[in-house]
Amino acid sequence: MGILAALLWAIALPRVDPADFSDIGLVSALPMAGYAALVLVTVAFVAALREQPLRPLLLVFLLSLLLFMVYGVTAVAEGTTRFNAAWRHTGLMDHIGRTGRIESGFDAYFDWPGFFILGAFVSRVAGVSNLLGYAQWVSVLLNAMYLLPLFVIARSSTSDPRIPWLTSFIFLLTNWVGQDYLSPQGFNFFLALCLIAILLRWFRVVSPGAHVIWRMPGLGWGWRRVPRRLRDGLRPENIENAPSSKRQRIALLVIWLAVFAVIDGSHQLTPFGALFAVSGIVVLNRCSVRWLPVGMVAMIAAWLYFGASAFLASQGQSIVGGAGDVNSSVARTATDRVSGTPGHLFVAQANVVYSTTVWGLAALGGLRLVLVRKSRDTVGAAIDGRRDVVTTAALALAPFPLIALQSYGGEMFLRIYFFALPFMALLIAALLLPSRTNGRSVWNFAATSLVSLALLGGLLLCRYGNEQINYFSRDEVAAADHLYDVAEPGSWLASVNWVVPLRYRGYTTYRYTPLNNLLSEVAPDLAVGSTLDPATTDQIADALAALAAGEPFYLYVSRAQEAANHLFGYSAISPQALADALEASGRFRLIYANDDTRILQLVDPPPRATT
Amino acid sequence: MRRTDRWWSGAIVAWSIAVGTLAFADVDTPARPLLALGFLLVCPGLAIARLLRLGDGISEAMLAICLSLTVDTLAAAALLYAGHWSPNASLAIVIAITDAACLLRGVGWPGRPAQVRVERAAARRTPRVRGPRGHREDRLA
Repeated sequence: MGILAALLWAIALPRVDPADFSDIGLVSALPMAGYAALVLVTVAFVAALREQPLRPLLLVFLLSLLLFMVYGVTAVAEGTTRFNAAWRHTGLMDHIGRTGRIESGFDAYFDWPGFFILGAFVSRVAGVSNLLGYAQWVSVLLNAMYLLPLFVIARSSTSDPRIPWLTSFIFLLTNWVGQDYLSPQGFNFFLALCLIAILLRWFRVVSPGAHVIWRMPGLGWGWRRVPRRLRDGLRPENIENAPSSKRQRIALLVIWLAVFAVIDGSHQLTPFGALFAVSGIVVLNRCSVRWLPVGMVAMIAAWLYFGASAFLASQGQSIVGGAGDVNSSVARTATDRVSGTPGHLFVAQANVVYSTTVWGLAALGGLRLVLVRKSRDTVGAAIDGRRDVVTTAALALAPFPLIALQSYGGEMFLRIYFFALPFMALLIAALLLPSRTNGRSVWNFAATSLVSLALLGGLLLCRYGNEQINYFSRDEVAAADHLYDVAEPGSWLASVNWVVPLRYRGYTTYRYTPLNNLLSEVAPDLAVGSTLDPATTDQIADALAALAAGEPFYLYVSRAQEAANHLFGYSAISPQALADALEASGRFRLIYANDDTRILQLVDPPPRATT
Repeated sequence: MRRTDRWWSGAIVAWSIAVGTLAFADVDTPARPLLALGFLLVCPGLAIARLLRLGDGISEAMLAICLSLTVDTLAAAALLYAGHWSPNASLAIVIAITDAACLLRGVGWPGRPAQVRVERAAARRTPRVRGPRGHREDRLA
């Protein structure tokens, strides 16, 4: 079945045309053969998991196939790097690689530069001008990397060899949030997972005894009132560490601290995500190195003081001011992203429903592990998984306090989902895995297959629902290259919104600006879709000339900006209509055009009016 | 030193020499990006992780990538923050660490951990008993 799926995928992939992406993204452009291939590989994996004994090579083959199909589809079909942020990150690497300088205080990226320093180093050693030629495959690489610590974590939580495989499978079916691109968060997420895996595998508390939390004053009385069945399920059993000597554990601890130091200097949010997770493990008495959270706090504070002081001096008030404002964070995160065309609204609502469903399935998995009676006839592999259900559940819930920090540009729920996903996948695996008694049941096979297929369908819709704007055509990239070739340093490179493949060169030497806000101020009363009259066009041109202040000014208008404006309703004036009006006014001249892009240059001085 | 140890150490050292030669001589060849990316992603961490003698393939693979990225980042960042940004010098540091770790493993340092030695000796004395599901969790190096 796996080979048939690969053949079908090979037939389907060349027929995916990015021009066919609609308001709901990739799912509208994927041929039926592609869907058939995905169904086949999903069902084949569920079937392979029922074999006794397991065939690891077959499982690796099917997981790799699923990974390549789901996370590599855009790399093959589009051929260019997705996400405007990936282009921006490349620009930071380019700047560091060329100058060897950190422009502290320029923007937040430079105050957490670890990932960009690594990228600059790697691209120079590789002898390439930047990593854009490889960046479209980063999703495949990162998700393959995530599976390693995930496998170690799942294996350390259960003695059932099927659970790590199923956890990896579920993770690949549910990672819709799209943080796995050429980004600090995608890179640091891998490192953070490794930290947790090291703690759970080599630093467990092996001495028998109850949780620290159960010993808290006042909890004992209430604890005795909890039904025994539930209580037994919640109480963790004693799990052995992986075999290791004191010397090995010291070496691992040194490695652990070095890895956290890299995370600390590479991303604003991940150190806090790791801190909450490690604190949860320590509070539940599952880690023998109890000073780790204190050490992590000290390291975070040290970096904020020494490494990010310029950023804190300029932005600290707004960051600190937002901390603790949970209502505002929730409102921005939950509502700001749900607006736009009906197609986009459908995708946005699907994101909410899908995430809620995954959380719900994880909760059911935890409940199953807690409640299922442990008796001889039902001691199945899944039941063994409850040995560490408390820790797993705590790790799935640990990222939620992040919402109290700030809204993170309306993305905080996405980040929380991302941090919690490995542990939710583990709990869902425990839910779907058959116990010994129904292990060969057709009903269990059908139910697991159906849930997996539903998760896969939701993943395609949610992950690739905004593909119209995440994707950049070759024409858009060629136009961006041309723009950098003709624009002298110090020029203004303007776009109508941020959805552009720019900033990958000259990150600090050009001035970049989106015109959304300026257009709203100059022409606040324009109706959506209206055309610009000459007077308003002149007003806009005047405003742009004033902004340019004598420096060369270029306007980059592209297909992706048009799509973003259409999907999100950013501006009443469409980018193409604006370009038409400015070109017709004579205040801007066209210097480059292809099927998807136009570049206009401000004419300076403006032509005199003839009377 | 076992034959597989020699093979691994030799492969890593050879890879580091190839990448070092291409980078220091600034050779422009299609193989350079793949060789360099592969080396920086896997080799430094693999060389160090093998010193730990964890005896578990997946954990070692995880540590290899995690440690490689950490060593690469720290080597590059240290020179940058010291005001001496030089990718070639950073690469030299990474290669030195990698080859030193291979050399240490080659001369048998740090030896097998005491606990592992004891358990292996015990395993030799007693017949091997497989777990109910043949789980490989407790298998040692």
